[in-house]
Amino acid sequence: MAPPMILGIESATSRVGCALGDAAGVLAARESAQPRRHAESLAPQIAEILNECGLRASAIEVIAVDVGPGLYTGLRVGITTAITMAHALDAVMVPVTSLELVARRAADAHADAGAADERAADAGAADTRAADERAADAGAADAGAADERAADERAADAGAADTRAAGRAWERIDAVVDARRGELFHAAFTPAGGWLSEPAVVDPRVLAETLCRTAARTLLVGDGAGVYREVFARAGFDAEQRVVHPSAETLVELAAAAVAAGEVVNADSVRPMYLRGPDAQPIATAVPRGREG
Amino acid sequence: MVESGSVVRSSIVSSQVELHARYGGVVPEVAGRAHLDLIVPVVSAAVAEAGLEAEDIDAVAATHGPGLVGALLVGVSAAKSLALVWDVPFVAVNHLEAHLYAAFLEEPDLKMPMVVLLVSGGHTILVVMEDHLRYRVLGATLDDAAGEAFDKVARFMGLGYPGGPVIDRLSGEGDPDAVAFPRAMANDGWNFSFSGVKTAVVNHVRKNPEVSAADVAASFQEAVVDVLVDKARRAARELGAEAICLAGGVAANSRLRSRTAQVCEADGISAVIPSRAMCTDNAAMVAAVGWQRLGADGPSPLTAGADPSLQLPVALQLPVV
Ligand SMILES: [Zn+2]
Repeated sequence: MAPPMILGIESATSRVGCALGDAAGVLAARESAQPRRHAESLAPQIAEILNECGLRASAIEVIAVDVGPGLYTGLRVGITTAITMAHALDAVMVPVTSLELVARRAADAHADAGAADERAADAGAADTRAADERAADAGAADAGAADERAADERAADAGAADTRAAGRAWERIDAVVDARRGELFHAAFTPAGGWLSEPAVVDPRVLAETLCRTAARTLLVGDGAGVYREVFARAGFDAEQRVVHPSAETLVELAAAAVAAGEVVNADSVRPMYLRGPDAQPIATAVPRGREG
Repeated sequence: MVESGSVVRSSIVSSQVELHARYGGVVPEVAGRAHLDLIVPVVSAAVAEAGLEAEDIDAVAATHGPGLVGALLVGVSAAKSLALVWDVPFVAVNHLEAHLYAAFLEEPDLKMPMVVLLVSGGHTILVVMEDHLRYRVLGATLDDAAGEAFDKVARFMGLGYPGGPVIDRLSGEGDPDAVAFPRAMANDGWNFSFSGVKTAVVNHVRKNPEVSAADVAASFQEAVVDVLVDKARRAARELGAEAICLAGGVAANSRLRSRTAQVCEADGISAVIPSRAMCTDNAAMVAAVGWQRLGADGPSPLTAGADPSLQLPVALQLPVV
């Protein structure tokens, strides 16, 4: 039996994207960096990748979705699309957090860079030029799947190579996703992508101070690192900061592993990870009941 | 689920009134979260109750505005997803236009031209409908919507949320002539203004703390209904309309319904007063417009987004009054 076809839907940040693939890899992907266009972009993107693969929607057996934490507007579009499609298709689902996606992408880049470094070291050419070339290669590979991917992310992937080249290794990955209103969503991971802390809402200044005091060599990833670049710099946290957005391709890769491990869920159980209340408190007073419709 | 634009096979409404009452009104983020939780169960129930299979569905329509953006995004995203999966057209519908079509679900052969009074918590609009999808906005509220005035007065008087039904019920025990609240712009053009009557109620209750709440409610309701009905009646006369039609949540108000029936009978025209379920927000009216628009304009593109401030499209070929 062919491995199940997986649709990944990613909308937790200002970007929106989707990817189609299976255990063998990603077949097609789209990503749009145009801010606040989630509702307009996602459905056409899905139609395009299905078309590109010559598939009908009914071929989709698994839907993986980024459940946040992230920006509500995007999550609302992505998760509604994912659960509605899953329900109509009778597909199973793999919910993944945005923080895990970001950390995983950094961890993968880290591992790739490490392998590349060993080859480079064998050849006796572990210099900055080698890192630049790897950056270019990584960029070309990405571009095939998602044209709009920002150059800063290619630089970020290459950054791990720089660090390896300098003889350092990350001991921990901290993922931060912009939560607006002066806050960040945060979780810490092992270099391999395992959870070290629960997802939480944090003040960037407090996180910056905590990171400064941490003995472990820490890689900071996620769009929140870019948004609060100056806050982290001012606190003296000078590890290279990386802008890495969660990606639908990573989502498909993680989902393929989850399917293999039997870790799939029903669409009814998939909900956004809000972490914050809705900015309003129920009133205490009794209210009349009984209005119809 | 609506067949051929007018036969309602099922209509499921998951009202969030109880939820919003807990917050004393609609909180956009609370509404958005609830929509996401309810969208799949509501769609499933609509398909099941209609006794249909997915293969029987020929198009999917959803409101894309006006309204709360968080709520609109859920509906639009779900509709486009279903259109993708079922491989059928998607139709983006104007919520206000949907209200105009609610009456046709109960009386498909309504005669036009028809004056439609669309009154809800967010809108107070006087429309003349010349033919299907051909209509013109005569006037609208310049400040508060009629339903908003009901909510604000009810909140001020400590009657709770939503204000419309509470005031309607309480008015039954009061004297509509007890207090002469202002009838703003009653004989002046086609627009409305309801902030003055709301302020007058507040001032009156502050000056007369012992006043009967039922009398205030009945007098306030009478002032609002007077303006709405008088203006619709005048429009029907001037335009030679065959009927006055009520639409929107405030059209569930019993005084507005009885007064509209009275003036239409006196003037020898039809009063089109949909059931209360058809006046309040429902998806059957969205499907009805979806069918009309699909026939007239074809499918909407999948790139359609939510438009929180969408207005009624205006047919320009009608004569100017
Ligand atoms: Zn409405």
